Amino acid sequence: MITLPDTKYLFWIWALGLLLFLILVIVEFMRKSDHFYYRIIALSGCVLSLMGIVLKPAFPEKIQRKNLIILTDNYSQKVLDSLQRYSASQVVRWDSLSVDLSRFDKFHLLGAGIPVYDLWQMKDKSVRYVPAELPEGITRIKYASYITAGESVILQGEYRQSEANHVKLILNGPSGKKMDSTSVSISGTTQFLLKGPSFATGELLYTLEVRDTTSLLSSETVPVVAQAPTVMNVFIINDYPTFETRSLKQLLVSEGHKVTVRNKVTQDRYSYEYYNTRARQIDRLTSGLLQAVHVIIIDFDSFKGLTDSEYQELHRQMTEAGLALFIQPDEAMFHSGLERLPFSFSKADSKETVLKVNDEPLSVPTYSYRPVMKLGVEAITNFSTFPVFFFHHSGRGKIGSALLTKTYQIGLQGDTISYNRIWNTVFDRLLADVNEAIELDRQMVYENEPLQVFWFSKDEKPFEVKYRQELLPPIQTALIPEQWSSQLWPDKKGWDELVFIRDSLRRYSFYVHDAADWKTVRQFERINANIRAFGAFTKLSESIKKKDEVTEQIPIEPIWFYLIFLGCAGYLWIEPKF
Amino acid sequence: MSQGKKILHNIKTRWRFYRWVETSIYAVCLALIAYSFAGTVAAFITFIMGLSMIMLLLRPWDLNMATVVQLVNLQLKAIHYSAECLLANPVSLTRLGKIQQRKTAYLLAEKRRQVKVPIPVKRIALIFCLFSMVFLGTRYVPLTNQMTSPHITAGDLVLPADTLAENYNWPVVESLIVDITPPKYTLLSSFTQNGPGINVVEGAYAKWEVRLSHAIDGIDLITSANKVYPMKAEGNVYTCGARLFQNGFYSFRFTNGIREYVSDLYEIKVIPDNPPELVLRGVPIHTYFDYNQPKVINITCDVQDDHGITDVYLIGTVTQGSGESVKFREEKLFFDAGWEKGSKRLTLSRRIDLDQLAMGPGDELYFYAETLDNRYPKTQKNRTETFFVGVKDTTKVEFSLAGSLGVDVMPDYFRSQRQLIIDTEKLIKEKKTIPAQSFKSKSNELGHDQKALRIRYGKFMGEEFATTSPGQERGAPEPDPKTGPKDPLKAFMHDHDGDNEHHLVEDHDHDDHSEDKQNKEGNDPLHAYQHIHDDTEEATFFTMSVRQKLKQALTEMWDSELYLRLYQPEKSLPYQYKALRLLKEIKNHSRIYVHRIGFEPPPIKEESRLKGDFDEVISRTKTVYHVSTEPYTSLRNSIPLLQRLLTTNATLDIEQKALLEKAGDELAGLIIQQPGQHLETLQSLRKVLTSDSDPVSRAALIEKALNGVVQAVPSLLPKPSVENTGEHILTQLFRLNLDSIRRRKP
Repeated sequence: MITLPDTKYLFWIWALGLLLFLILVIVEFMRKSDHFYYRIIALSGCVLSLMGIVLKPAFPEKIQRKNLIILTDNYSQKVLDSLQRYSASQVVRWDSLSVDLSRFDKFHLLGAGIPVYDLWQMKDKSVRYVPAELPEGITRIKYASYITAGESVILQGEYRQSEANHVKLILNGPSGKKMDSTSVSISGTTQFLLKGPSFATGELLYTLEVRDTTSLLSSETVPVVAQAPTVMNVFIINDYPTFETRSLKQLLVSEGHKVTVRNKVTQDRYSYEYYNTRARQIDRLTSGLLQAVHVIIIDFDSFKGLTDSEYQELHRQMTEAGLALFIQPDEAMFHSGLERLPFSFSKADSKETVLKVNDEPLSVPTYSYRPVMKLGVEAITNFSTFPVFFFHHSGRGKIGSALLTKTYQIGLQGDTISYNRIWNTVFDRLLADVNEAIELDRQMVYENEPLQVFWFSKDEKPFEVKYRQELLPPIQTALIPEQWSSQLWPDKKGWDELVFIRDSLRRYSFYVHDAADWKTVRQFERINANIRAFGAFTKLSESIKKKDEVTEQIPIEPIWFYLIFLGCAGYLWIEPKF
Repeated sequence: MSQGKKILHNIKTRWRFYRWVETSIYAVCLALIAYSFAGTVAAFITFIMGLSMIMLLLRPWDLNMATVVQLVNLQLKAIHYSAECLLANPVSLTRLGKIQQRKTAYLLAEKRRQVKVPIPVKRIALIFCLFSMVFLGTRYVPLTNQMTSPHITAGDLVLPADTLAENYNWPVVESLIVDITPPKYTLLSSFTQNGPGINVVEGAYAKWEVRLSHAIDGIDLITSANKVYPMKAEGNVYTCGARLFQNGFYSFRFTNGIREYVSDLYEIKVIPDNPPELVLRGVPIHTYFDYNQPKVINITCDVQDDHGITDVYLIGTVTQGSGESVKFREEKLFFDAGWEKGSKRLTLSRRIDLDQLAMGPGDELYFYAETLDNRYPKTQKNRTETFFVGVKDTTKVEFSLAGSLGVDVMPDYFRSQRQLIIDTEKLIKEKKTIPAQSFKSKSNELGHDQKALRIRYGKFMGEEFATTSPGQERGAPEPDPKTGPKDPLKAFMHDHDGDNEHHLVEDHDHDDHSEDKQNKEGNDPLHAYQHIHDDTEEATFFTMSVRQKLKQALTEMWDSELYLRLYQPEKSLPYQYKALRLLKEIKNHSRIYVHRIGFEPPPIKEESRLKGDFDEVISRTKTVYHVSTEPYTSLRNSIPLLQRLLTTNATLDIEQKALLEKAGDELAGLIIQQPGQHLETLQSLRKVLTSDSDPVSRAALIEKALNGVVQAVPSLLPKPSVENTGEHILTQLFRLNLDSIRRRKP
């Protein structure tokens, strides 16, 4: 029986159709045509065919629902054969999927699984996933894609093998020269860590090779972007000049940072020094002054002597803008009990410690105190057995201090490299994060796969992001209004970039891998993602043995109604002519 | 509608249609012009606007029946201007009118084809042709004369330096000979270098000879110091020469017409001529002779040089006298003859007799050896350190510890009494652990030191003779005729129980002595007021008590020395303590304590500190701009560029070429500092810049350059930088909550 779809306009469609039919019948009657009845039939045909096009009537049909077996990479033939023995299920490959998934009720997924970006297609469907064997090789990899020039490239990962073969993992630099290597010779999963220096600013490609005793097993590209270091704007506020401040100031100036120094001469009289920056009044710490500052280095006496308003402003800048504060210690600081100071200390015996900055150990004098590592207090460096540099979070910013008394001696002894490394590490940890970020939804980007791009903007209108001269349409995240996202499809292997336009042009580079790169890592991720989405099944379900039948309404093709309408309308038009 | 009216209507419709067509044609003409200059969109806009404007002008719709009737009347004479009646209503017409109407309608129907709608065909055609011509002209005839405006593309006139890709018949280098002539003074013979790389002595003259298969315009030799030496042509043989003084590299530039070819880079390594080296043997730095012993020293000198020694000699300075009357006499002493100038290695000897130099006691000779090599034009000199030889003057009292211990040199320090006590206590502690011989030797040594100390303090007493002891000074006690001879050692023993032998109790020796002196010397009224320092009894440096104490201290020292020499240090310790106590008292005694008088400033008031008048105290400002120069910036920045070229095989743009050129310059500087390294890298880098070779060989060049640059560039130190992360409301809430947790007191 023909059925009509349930629509709220059904009554009106019928009513209008009937009304039209009546009007046309009346007109025909008044015309007193010779072929009145034929014309009425034609009129009926026209009106009914128009209603049929609008209402889409359907015929019921019984459909025998089948299970669908979806094959992906590395599926098990044995499992497939077992499945097919139970029922004549249709078998398709995910790569060349051409069936309507909605026609199937149950799915069996075999192999490495569906790509992560396609998992949404199987949402709310009944899927039994039989995962493939976990691949052998590098299964996990983690490294920082963006580093500062001079920082080491550090690769951490896992290597998996079922047998105890001896393999070597080698990290090669941009020229192909070996930087670091490690060996794996046990079966199972072994963690590894490789390190290599960065030589320059820019986009660099490292290579991770896996070799056994005879041949190269795999070679993967590790793309790294080495950014130029930040030029810091540093304020140094001291009650009187010291050697420690002097050597620190020289280090900062020699590296090109903007340094402003204020030393107290007497009450309301100061000595100002400006290095690589223009001169300006810094008698009082005001909001306008502190806005552009990255780090303030202040001795304890000056810190204690800050007025309430200055301290409030400083605190506000730290919590909201991420200003870093470093307090140069003195003996009084450790038992001051000052409320502004977020640290507490315990007495210690030794007045010296050994630092391991480079290969040579350095003996450096310290105050005979140790910081209490309570909640919020973290160590800045791991150069010693206990924290010699530490900081406390203060909103977006950090307050740091140290236990070392005379670090300048390290430089005077000739080891300027260690001195530089110590202080650069301290400032690197203290500097706040910047909120001008573009993030990708994953670290490894592959050609012809969708890539989600996220960026953050506090303004109502987000700043523009362009990809290959085209603006990316932003979508605002509902729960996080500052977060915007867009999707793009990189289609070419190699370095690519996004350009985001705010006050100036900034470029965000990323590397697009070939589909065959990092194969084992991708497979491992995919298997795990599919297991998380669908669970893992090892026993076949009995439900596959039953055949389901469902009645479905199949709509009549509208072309029939169209043809009927044409015929009837044609007759109505041509008939008077003859 | 009547037939006539119908015909008139048709004429009107037709006429209106033609007017619309005319309007459209004009609009299309304008659109064509717009299209030829500004494209489709402009043409469309122009058509719409043009159509609107022309419509307003021509008003094609503005046509009424009266106009049509007029037209018909004009064109159809036969109807005798009665076309208007066709429009009239027949009911309102008279019979005649109706007849006329019918007749007119009939005529009109018959001759309707004679009615021509006035279309300005010519005008339309003319305008259309005109605009079409302009349109076609802009399409096919260039706007500017390309012959007059130069249109040179890059690459038309500038040919690649490597013209091998152009099938040009470059000449073949048949031979490349480098003749090296070392400097004459080196006495090295000339030779021909094998290969274009040069390894020569500093100052050598190199002559290059290049023979080609056929002559070209010219060849230039270009060195790393950016000096260009044009080669002299003799047929197809090209020569040039240069004197080499420093490390570097060179290449050839072949020029023929507008074509150029630059060869590979070749190394120049220069071996410097080092100064000669010499060493004196056979004589210690300090040598002293006694007057009565042979004062002869035998010196041996070893000299060596790269190419030849011209001269070797000793420069001696003899000093005579001391203080202000010292005299210096410089002499040049030659080594024994028999050595040849120009030798590279020599061992020379010389015997110096101090007597021959007329040196007496107290005179000293300072000498050093000096040598000159045969370098030309500027000789190189070198010398040894200074040696000291002297003749002792035994007439002066010296703190000589020569004697049984066999120590000939002056001690570096002078042991104080406190130090002697410490060493004695230490020796006593060690007595059981060290051999007896060693113990005795150390005890004796301490005795010597005690003696030296005693002599030193004895100087203040005017004692000239160290060998006298208090006992001897006092003289041997005269035997009492009544009691008989006494113990001969008694005088040397420290016996406090006896009489005031050591004058522990202050006496009045001064007065006594003065009386004695008066008695001795007769009446000398000034004697009491004189400072007589020569007489030990009359020494008047100190007051009596101090002198007595000093004397007593010396006595204690005597006793201490006695027991030390008798290898009984434990017995000497009490005497040493006493001597020390006395010396301390002497020191304190000679101090004058004066009550402080004068200005005593008031104590500082902390509350008013730093609150003075600061009008004259000004704040100081200093501004410095320091440009941080990271070395090898371009070399570093070329690494990502080379890697990208390797993976993409793209061509270089102007900026990238400039970067690679700067990187090459930095690498050249590095090569000069480290000769023999990175030359191939520089070559590869230059070929990458200039070469247009096939992709495979270009990739090999780039890879080679990349490997070399990565090895050449020193590693970077880590620097601080900000991290880019996303900050949003959730992170802020997290931080606020974290802060509130921390602030919560337990």
